[in-house]
Amino acid sequence: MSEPIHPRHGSGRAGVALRHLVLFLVTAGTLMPVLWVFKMALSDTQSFQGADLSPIPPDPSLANVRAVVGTRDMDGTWLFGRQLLNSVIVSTATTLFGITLACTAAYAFSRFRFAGRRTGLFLFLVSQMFPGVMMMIPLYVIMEALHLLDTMLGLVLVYSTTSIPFSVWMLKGYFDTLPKDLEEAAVMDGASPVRTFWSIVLPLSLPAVAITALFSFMSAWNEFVLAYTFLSKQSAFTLPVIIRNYVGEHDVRWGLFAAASLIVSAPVVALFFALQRYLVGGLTAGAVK
Amino acid sequence: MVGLPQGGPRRPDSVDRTLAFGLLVLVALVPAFLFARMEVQREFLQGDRWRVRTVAGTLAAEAGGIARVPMLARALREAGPPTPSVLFLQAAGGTDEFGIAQPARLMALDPEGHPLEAPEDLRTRYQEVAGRARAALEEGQSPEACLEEGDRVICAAASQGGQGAGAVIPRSQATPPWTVPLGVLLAGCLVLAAIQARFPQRIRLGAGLVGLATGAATAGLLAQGAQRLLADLSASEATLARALAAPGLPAHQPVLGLAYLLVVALAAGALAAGLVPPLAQVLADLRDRPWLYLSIAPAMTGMVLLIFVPFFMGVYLAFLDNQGRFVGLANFLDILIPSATGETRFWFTLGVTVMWTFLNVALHVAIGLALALVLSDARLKGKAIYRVLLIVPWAVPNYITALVWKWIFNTQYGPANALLAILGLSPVDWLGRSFWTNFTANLVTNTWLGFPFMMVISLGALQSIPADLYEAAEMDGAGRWQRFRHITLPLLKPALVPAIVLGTIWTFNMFNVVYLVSGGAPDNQTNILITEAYRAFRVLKNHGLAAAYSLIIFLILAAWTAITNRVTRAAENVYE
Repeated sequence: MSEPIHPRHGSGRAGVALRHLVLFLVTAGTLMPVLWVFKMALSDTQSFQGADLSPIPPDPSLANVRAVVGTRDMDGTWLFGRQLLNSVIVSTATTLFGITLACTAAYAFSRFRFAGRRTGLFLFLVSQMFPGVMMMIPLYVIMEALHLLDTMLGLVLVYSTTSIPFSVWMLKGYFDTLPKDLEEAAVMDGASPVRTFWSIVLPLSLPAVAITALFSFMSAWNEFVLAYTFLSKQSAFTLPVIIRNYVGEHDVRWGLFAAASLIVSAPVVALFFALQRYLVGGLTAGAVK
Repeated sequence: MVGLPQGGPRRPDSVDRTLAFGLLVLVALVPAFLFARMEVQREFLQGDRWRVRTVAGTLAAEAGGIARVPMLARALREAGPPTPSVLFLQAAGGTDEFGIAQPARLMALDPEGHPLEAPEDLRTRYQEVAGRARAALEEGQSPEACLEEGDRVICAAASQGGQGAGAVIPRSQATPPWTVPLGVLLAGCLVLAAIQARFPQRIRLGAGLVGLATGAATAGLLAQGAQRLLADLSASEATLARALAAPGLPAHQPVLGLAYLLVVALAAGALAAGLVPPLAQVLADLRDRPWLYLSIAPAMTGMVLLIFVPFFMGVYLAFLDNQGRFVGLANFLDILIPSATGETRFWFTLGVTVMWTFLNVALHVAIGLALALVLSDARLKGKAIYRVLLIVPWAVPNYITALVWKWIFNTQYGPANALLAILGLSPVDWLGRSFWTNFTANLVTNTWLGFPFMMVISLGALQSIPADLYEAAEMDGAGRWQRFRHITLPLLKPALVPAIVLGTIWTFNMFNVVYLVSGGAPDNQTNILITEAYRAFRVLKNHGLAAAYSLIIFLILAAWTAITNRVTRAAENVYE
């Protein structure tokens, strides 16, 4: 009669069909914009006359993709390759650096009670509420004083410090859910805290570490306001900055924009899907204990 | 228990308390010094500008300024540094023998009067400044113009008949004497020694006191240095003004008297009294388990330097006007008090922001939760595929999403209007002159990119609800709605509430969507607070106003988080 809500209850055949119908429609609606981007990228026009809803490009062509990938500067240097490399290096370094610092801090916050612990945690939380616009001018001044404008190191430092507070909270929440027995046993056997963390806690926390790393990587790979502010040399640009440039105030090249978007999104979407099975566990374990 | 020492914390001893007090006083001096440094820099800039303007004016004062170069060189030598790096002389172009107008000739000299090869970008910059000076002359204003650019100041003066002169001066920098870093290092080492457990208490006390004294002495040195620099500058300016018979500049006031330091230190001491016991406890703990603090220190240092320091610099900016003058609460009053001429409409924008946040979060939760409920049927085949496809919007960078939706809502060739046409409706000028269509475009975009997060959170929480609860409820005759209301919702709460708090903060500050989709159109009406703050920064170029705006946003969010924390008691769980 009444259709149970819960997973482990069955629903009638009609109920399942209805669910499929709903899910199919919602999924199709969700994916449409993505398909249109594919269509725009694979057609060969800029001022795309897309007033039909079909997701299939009328005459497929790789012209836009080639134009984006083949960007060179006046000296003939392969600009796109350079910018891709910038993005890869900045995002990877941000992730490694940020996660290492966040892991050690989160472990200490989770496992030990010490003076200043609550204040420290509180500071990490508050730092998430500072509006970015307010930090932009002072950060620019600091970066200028340290001669870090137009450098990858500058971006890595800013990105990793801004992602650390979130990472610390996520990881601390996850570490809290792990039972302490294993660690205590290891300590009895004479393992140092570093060793206990490295060979017991870390392997058990892989889902949370993976998700935190994913978020760090995504935020660095996708960030464009600060990159736009700090970088002035084309050879120092990261990929988001070039996308912004394809959609200028007066000169909008939708075809190139779509092709560049696909190229920029592809790695992070792939990474996201590779790690998505950890999403549920990594995100919610801390909250639902 | 060696590795995981959980024993009671060591009680702070008298050395810890003394150190804590002294350190707090020293730390309280830091903002005073930063403030003083900014003041000194401003005085420097004023002096540099005066010097370069005076030099340019002297050269431009009469035709053939080159004749005055030897006199100028002597005066500059006498006055001492800073010395101009380049002098510019501009001769009127006139006409050649055929009566054709010749472009003005520009000559670059070093301060001794020898010709110089000036770099092209410097010449271009100078021409810009000289153009402004000529324009000022034509309008009957003081025929001078200056430009501060990076580490140099460029000034130009124009005189009648198309002549002019200019000078470039490297900006003065206050570099602290070598004793200052040495003092900081020494003080740091001594304080570190004072918290070493292996030293006897008397040695620790001695090291701590000497360390604190070294720190205080270093601060004094720094203050003295700044005073002397300003005094030297004033003396040099007076000499130059006399030699060139030019109007001088009022003496630079020394900003940092020792008395001022003392007042700050006393005030800091009074403040510190309340902070001493907790800091002393930290020091005692640090003595016990230094590795624990070492594991937090890198993350904490990075956060303090690149988040907290810029934040407090921003707070300071909020009390300044665009010229760097202190204006008290004027920026805040400008924002908060509605006026016909005001450049921002704070209360309207606040209303839009609240509506924006509420509608978005409500839609995210409603759609996300509904999809999670539909998906969590064990007999549903292929739900992994649906789940993967439904989180696509989360994976796509949100600025790309925003730009794509801007295209979708394009009036002429966007799919949104194509869809309306298929349904037999007339096209809508989505991003045109109507508030509601712009707002809807933003809302649709943000809903698209935001629901997967709530869906994933809900899915995770649904999985953790034990099935027997439902069975028991069903036995008791609870209907579908009752089961949802009394079992599902309460058990989802622990996961959903933090997600909603987080989602609210994200949406409240969702810069990318509003900025890139509607861009505030029409007339900045769809702007939310964060995009208005950015507009004050980028368009109105009023940094003080932008900072004040941002500070208000922060205070709203902080208040909101504090209230929700109290209501949900999430804080207790979080700190436990």
